[in-house]
Amino acid sequence: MALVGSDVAMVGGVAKVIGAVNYTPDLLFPRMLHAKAVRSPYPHARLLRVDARNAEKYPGVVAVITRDDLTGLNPYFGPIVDDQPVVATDRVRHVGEPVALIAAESREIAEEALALVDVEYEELPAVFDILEAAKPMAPVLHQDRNETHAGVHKEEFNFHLGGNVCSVFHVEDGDVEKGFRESDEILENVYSLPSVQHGHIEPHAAVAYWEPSGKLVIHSACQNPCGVQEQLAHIFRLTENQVRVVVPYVGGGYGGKTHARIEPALALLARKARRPVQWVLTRDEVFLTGRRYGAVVNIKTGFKRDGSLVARRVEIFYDIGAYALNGPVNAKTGCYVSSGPYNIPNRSLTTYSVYTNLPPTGPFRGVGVSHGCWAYESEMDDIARRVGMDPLELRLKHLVKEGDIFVTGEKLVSVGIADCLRRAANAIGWRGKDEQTSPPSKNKIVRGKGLAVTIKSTTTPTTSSATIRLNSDGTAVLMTSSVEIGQGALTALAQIVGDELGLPMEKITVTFPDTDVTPYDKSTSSSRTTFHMGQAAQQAARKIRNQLLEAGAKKLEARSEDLELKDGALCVKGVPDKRMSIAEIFKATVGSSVGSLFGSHCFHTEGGLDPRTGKGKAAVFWFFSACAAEVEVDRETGKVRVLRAATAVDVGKAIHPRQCALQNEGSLLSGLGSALFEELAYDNGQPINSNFLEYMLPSLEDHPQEFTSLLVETPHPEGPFGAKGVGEAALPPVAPAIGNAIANALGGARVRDLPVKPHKIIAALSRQGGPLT
Amino acid sequence: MRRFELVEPATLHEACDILADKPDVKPIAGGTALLTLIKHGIFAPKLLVNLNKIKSASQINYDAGKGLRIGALTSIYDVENSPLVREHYPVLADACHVVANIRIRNMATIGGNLAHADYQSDPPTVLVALNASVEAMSAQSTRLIHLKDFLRGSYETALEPGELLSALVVPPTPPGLRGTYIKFTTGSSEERPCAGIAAMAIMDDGVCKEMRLVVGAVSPRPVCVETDIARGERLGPKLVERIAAEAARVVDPIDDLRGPADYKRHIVAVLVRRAINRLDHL
Repeated sequence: MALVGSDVAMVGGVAKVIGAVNYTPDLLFPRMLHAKAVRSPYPHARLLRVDARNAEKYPGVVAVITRDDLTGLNPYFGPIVDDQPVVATDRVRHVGEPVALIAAESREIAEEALALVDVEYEELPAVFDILEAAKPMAPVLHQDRNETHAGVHKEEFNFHLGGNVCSVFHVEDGDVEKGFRESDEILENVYSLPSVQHGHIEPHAAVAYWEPSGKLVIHSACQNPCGVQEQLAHIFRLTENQVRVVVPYVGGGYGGKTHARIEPALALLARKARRPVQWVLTRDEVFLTGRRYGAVVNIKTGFKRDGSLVARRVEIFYDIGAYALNGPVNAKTGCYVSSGPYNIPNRSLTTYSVYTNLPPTGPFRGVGVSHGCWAYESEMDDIARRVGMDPLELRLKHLVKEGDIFVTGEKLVSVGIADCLRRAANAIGWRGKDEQTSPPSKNKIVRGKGLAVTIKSTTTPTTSSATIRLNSDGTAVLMTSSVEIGQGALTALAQIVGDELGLPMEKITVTFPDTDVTPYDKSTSSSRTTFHMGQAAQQAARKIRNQLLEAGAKKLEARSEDLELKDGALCVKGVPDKRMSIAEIFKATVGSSVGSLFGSHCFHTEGGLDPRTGKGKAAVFWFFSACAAEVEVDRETGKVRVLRAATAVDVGKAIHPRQCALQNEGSLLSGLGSALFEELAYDNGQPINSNFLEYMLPSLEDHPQEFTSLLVETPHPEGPFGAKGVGEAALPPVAPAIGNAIANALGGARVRDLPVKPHKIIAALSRQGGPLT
Repeated sequence: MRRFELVEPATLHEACDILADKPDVKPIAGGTALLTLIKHGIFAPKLLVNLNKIKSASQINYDAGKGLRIGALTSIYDVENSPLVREHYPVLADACHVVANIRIRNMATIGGNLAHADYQSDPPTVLVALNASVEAMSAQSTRLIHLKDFLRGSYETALEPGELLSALVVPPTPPGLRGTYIKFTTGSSEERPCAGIAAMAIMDDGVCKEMRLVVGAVSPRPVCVETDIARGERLGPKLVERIAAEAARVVDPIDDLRGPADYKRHIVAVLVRRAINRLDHL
């Protein structure tokens, strides 16, 4: 049968296409109210007065929460640092920060009542620039961080106190200064990346209500039901079983829904209103709620004339916005990969997460990795040009290989990166050294090709649990807290269980997360579901399989190792007529023709890094990927068109090849957007393009005419059927591959600040000797 | 979005009466621009006058003597695909074709596009070059306003309170006039223009008899560029260069998310050159 490795129909695909799927904003509950937030118009201000009495009296308003409603709660929360208030307390730190939340009979009434909440602000000096914010004299966002709500995960991070630097991560190898002295040449540059939007079509949305027993129930479009549950339990001082988080289909997240954001305030509002309350953000509110970290990257590389890399120093400053959220994790995961998937004997890598008075940030597909990758992959091409070497060869010469020791001190396993790079380069017809050394063209329209690779970790250590319930008719239900976010988790997990139990797709149901029922999962993030939950599900299925084989061995008078589960039946291998249906074997196992049979598994990965040394085990598996792109550049206008692109990802084993290819295509388009178009713009902390008219995502017209998705399969010993993750892998190298293609088209003229907008290309050409006019 | 009342008049006269009467009122047609502004809280009208039920205002007529008359409520898509427009004003069809995407073109109306007066738009540039006028209708009267006078600035028109843009009138083009429109975006393909160039000319055996050149989306309103030097001349590189330089000189570029002002000035010259060079091949 072999479901794994085949392109079975996507579970829920038809329902989505015909519009029959209910997302969180579609949910209706009896007597449900609607929430709207009063938001700060200032980027940084002291809250002198918050008075909601007039709003509360407005007809149709049922409840309003402000800082006065936080009594008896833990008012601050956050996945790493408890620095985010449920609603603003003593001050606001970014434009759009919720100061009050109103529940009313309709969204319109709630919106009308917003102006009735009387808020008095006293403006404070604010800081928006990453590097300015990191300076000692900058206005400090979290002055009292030390006393009131310090880091809760001190053992994993180096927290800085006093200024705006939230955390620092550092890891090194060899002696970088000595390496620079031994180098023939040194290249040193500054790269930057703006903040960008996740662009999930479904906004943040949730419905909350409280049961009479004092139990909180929340239906939320989140990527992380167990994390949200944990945060809500902490805020309301409840036990885990007193908080129930339910997650239906989620309309995209890309990291933007990984952490509790709107749920805490909504839960508090629902408690006060004593009715279900729904909160669906508008698009401009989404822009005020989450975004990808902007960053400045300083990179310095020392190398020999033969292209050998001797030393590299990287320093990245990430703008994490007003609250820590995932910032420290981002800085950590961005740090150890910031010199690339290369063997370089001497390196020193340091990252900083820095508070600014801009809206909060969060993980974004390829968390923290795209930043370093933009810098080191641009730098690799510049080095190749300098030493006159094929950029492909320069990379191959230094790429990590199976069994190499990474900068973190761990041994790398399942390393298919050289294959990824070679295959991607072939797919666009890479011609070697000529791609960089063709004489500069006098044509207005020029073409160029570019390559880039990346390495990324998956969050480690983590835990995923799965339970399978076998029904007496031979159908199975996989209970999991993994979120179906469009990536096809329901499909891939069913394939894994199906092959383990010999069941076809239609006999397997995968549940949606409901923390009352489904077992623990760390989160649907870090491209970890197929590997972690897949492993948990496979092991859980194996436990059911073993029970069936044991009972079957008696009934069929055969050794259990001679039995197999196939096509919904237990058979003796090679003896087709010696078989029992699963329904029959179920009865033999349970002793009744009705009932349930269970198999459960809790999969836990080991690892973690010592924050003092940066050494340890960063990842149970690593992502390796490559991108190759060919572009056309108009030298007169600076306009770029991506003609062809290929992405290659080492997926370990493609459980569902089509879904893997779709992930790669999604990554390509997202990467193309951040390479060429996307940039969140602020004017003194005020967002000025917080809608999809002013902040334009790539359209289908921008899609390359030719796109190739390549799947390299280097099996991972711990992955289900050898599978690793795929979701984020292809994204980080897209922007540098496009950037390198542009530079190669322009005889080396390079733009180091994303996005590569036409006016920057014209400026780069002017520096090089003038645009063609 | 704040609550509002909606009225749906059956005639333009009825619509004008309502607009003249009430405060905090906005007419709405396709809604592609207005709804975004309402959602962002830039407008909070108490009353919306839905014009879409006015069937008589979405017709396209052509008369060889009078030219083209397009009802204000005609969708951009219908203008783009009208056989009359395609036959007599192909460059207008071209400019409508590159507006946003087909979903927007289906909803947005030509009247709404002009009355909204967003400087980052395609149709006004070509229409100014075609010497178009608009009909402004009020409860009392109707007046004809040259489009280039009607568009006063970014989001600013000559419409008086209580007036409604009821139709667009494009005079017949002189025999032999050929034109081209170049939309240039710096972001996604569906983005609004960073610059738009409408160039039209009557060419006779390689000699230019008349040229019209309008630069849109760069300045607060479309800018007509002086092209007298082209009259009676062949469009050689030196002449084209002089016109391009003149275009770059007279525009007053707005620094915005689509590009800095100096860059816009740079590409105006590039695009004008390209547009004029195309004229020889039309």
